[in-house]
Amino acid sequence: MKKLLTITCLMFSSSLLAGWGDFTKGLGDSFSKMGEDISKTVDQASGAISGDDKEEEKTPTAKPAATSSDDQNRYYKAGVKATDVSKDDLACEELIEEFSLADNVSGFLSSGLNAGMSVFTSGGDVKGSALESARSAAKQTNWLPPEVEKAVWGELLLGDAIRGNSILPRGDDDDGLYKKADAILEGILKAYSSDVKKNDKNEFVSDSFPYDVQILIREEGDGASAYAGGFIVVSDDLLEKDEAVFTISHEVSHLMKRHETRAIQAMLVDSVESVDEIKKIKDSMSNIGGAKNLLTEIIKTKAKFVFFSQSQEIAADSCGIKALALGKSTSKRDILKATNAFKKQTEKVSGKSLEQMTYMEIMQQPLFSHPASDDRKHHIDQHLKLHKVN
Amino acid sequence: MSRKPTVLIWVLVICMFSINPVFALDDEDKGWLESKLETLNLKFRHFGKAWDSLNNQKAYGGRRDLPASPDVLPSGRVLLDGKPLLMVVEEEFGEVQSFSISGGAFSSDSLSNTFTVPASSMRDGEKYEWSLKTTKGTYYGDFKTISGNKKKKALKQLAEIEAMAIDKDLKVMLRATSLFQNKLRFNAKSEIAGIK
Repeated sequence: MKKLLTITCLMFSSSLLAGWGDFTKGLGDSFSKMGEDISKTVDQASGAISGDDKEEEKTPTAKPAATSSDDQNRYYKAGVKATDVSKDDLACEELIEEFSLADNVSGFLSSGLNAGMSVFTSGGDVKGSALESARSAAKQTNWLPPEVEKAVWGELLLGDAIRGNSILPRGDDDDGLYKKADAILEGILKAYSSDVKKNDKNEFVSDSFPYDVQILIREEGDGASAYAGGFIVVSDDLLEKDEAVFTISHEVSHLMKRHETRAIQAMLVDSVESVDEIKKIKDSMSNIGGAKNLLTEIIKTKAKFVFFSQSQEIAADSCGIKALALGKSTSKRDILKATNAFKKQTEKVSGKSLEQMTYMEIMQQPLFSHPASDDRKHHIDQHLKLHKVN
Repeated sequence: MSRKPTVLIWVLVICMFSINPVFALDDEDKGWLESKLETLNLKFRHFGKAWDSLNNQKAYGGRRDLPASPDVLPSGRVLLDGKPLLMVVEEEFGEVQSFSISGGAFSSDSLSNTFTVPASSMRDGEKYEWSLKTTKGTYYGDFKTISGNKKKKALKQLAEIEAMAIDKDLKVMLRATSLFQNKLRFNAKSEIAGIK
């Protein structure tokens, strides 16, 4: 319960940083429909691991033209339901993850409080409890404000990078790499500016861009990474390669879809609940049946993580193409050149889809993994067609 | 050999486990080192990279969906200066089973985790791809060999360092500094790996 209160406090602090007015307005609205929100959020969060077949009936599906044939179905392995798929916008219908702090925070609070009550009334037996639902909800909704990400996470990560001698200082850029990188970024962000205008329903992004995106050049490796708070770190070697423009667009998409934010939230939530997890493992090991159930549940949870990571890569590919097509700063020829080079790279780091993995492989997956190369290439090709880039 | 370089090497060794050479050196030694770097038109920041490499300090970052890969294998720009290219696959990546470079430049399935590839098998200004198979997985990478002015500039600076009357290990550090500054990271790490 203490831990739940800690999360709750964190939510409230975050909301204060992002604007009390919006928060209270949204909180008032959401409290009036709390009953509905509680059941909806908890059901969505817990359905994936509870094996509730009814969930499949109300599964929203992505646009067929924009997704690979079985994007939804392939994730049923290990109990991962299509309700989870709906959490990631695989087809990139919206370039920017809708971010209304009030709704997200109150939605999470609702599910979290409900979860806490369940734990309390069941005498603290956390097995299959709503506490797990609260945990899932905390990982799936966005409640970390961009201001907090930037002030805390971004600067910590940036500090690491600078201390590690790996970031090229802007004043030391003899080859004009920042000029090149900034020009690519500017072209990509044009698409997001136009998307913001089209999304007036999204109050947050229509008032201001969610991030002041900054690009940093790393004198190491040959890839690019996105970091919560609006930071894109790209290697100097990548800037000399054909796939640069698409890779950067892909990383910007991770930021705008707030994938990194969710990763941080998941880590936060996991860390504050670690004691309960230990208790759970200890209690379940007292009999074979309990141990088997627990291990199955752990594998399902791990599978969800693997799925989140893989689906985020797919979603970022979709948005990466959409942003380049909408931005119109990159010619069709150059987009194709970049995506072809990118597809070639994916062959080198190809993973397996969840349906191809054994349970042991799921357990052995790193927290962040990559989709199967063929799936990814197929998905990229479909999106090139969708945006008439082919 | 003059006293200064010997003292400096001792300072470097003593401070090997400290976090940053800038804080570890006293003002006199730092001043001496900075003057040498300035003479060679090298930046202290790049000396810091050589230092990190000596201390097995891996650079921050990487792509979230990519696994880590061995640190001393060719990537980006590579200088061919006639010497064999020294490659190192750290133990954490398993035992090396085979390594090959595209275009028939190199291929072997009988290697230890530290091995060399003859530079004569490659040409300047070419792109190459490599693949490495170990007991823990398969890794891929690519690189481009430099040519023309870039190569001339890099070789000139290395020749200046070679001509200096300083300790041989310090020469390696300065060579690595020069290579880092010229974006020849593989060559720089390979130099450092040679004295570990």
